[in-house]
Amino acid sequence: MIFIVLPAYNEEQKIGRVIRDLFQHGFKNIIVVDDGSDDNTVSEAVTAGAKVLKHMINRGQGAALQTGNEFVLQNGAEIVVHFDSDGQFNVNDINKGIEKLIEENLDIVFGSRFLDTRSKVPFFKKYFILPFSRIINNFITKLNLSDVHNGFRIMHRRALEKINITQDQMAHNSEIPRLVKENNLKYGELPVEVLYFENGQGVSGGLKILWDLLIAKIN
Amino acid sequence: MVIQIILVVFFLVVLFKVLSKFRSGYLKGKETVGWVIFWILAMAVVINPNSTLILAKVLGVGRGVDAILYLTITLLFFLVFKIFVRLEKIERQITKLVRQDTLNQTKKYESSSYHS
Repeated sequence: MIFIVLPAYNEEQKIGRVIRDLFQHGFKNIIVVDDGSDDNTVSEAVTAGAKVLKHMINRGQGAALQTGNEFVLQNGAEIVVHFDSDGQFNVNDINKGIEKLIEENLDIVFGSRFLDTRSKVPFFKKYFILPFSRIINNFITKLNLSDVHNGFRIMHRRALEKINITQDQMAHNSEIPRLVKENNLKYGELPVEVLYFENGQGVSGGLKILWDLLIAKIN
Repeated sequence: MVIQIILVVFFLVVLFKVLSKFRSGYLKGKETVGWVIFWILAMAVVINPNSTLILAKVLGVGRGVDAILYLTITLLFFLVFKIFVRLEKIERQITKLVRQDTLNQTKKYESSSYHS
């Protein structure tokens, strides 16, 4: 069984369209983890036909993904896809990723913006923020990935059972590759398209992630 | 000096607070002893500032006030660090609770929808 997990926080404008798009592409098990939204994300997701899990208060994207992971594990998932609820990913990339996972017998497939030319990454982000973040990230995670903090990933149940996300905020994007390395999971990268809106993570978001990782190390 | 009186009275109030926190169970025995010693020492230093000279000599610092300053800053950093670690732990526990609640609620939802 293939599950799509969409963590969502105040995404009433976009989530309905994303869910309908997923249904139109033949995906059936769509799980939205509403992370304590203040808007109508839940009703939009329910109307669009998704199964909605609700966090009573906001705990962060990492926390929402882990809730989704545990739910799908309990419900017999063989493959789970982490996808964004704001429509920045291309649904057409999912099947390619699943094929890759199965054909190459991988445990996890990471999406990457840099393996083809579809993603129009903003200049400053592409040439300054991301290369720098990639060096730090690959140093922390000990995994050599061409992209950093790309929320598109496809995991086999084997990986799901090993990966327990403890980073509640955005640092889970570094924690997952680190756990992949620690557990010797087989991984691959898939070219994915990322559309750019205004609400990305800036430099301060990056610093927050580093801070979270540091605090976690101390703990 | 007025400042000495103010500080001693303040420390006595804090000392009283520490003891009442211990009595109501918010502070453990070890912590209480630590804080009582700390505030009594603080009072001793305020009443007799020259006593810090001994400490300064031991630490190899020129003035007693400097020795106290270094020590208190170190202590403050340590306490802030401890609070950070504790906060992180609490954050994780909250997430655990929220997740468990979410999963429980969802299970109930599913089973009731089967019967309807």
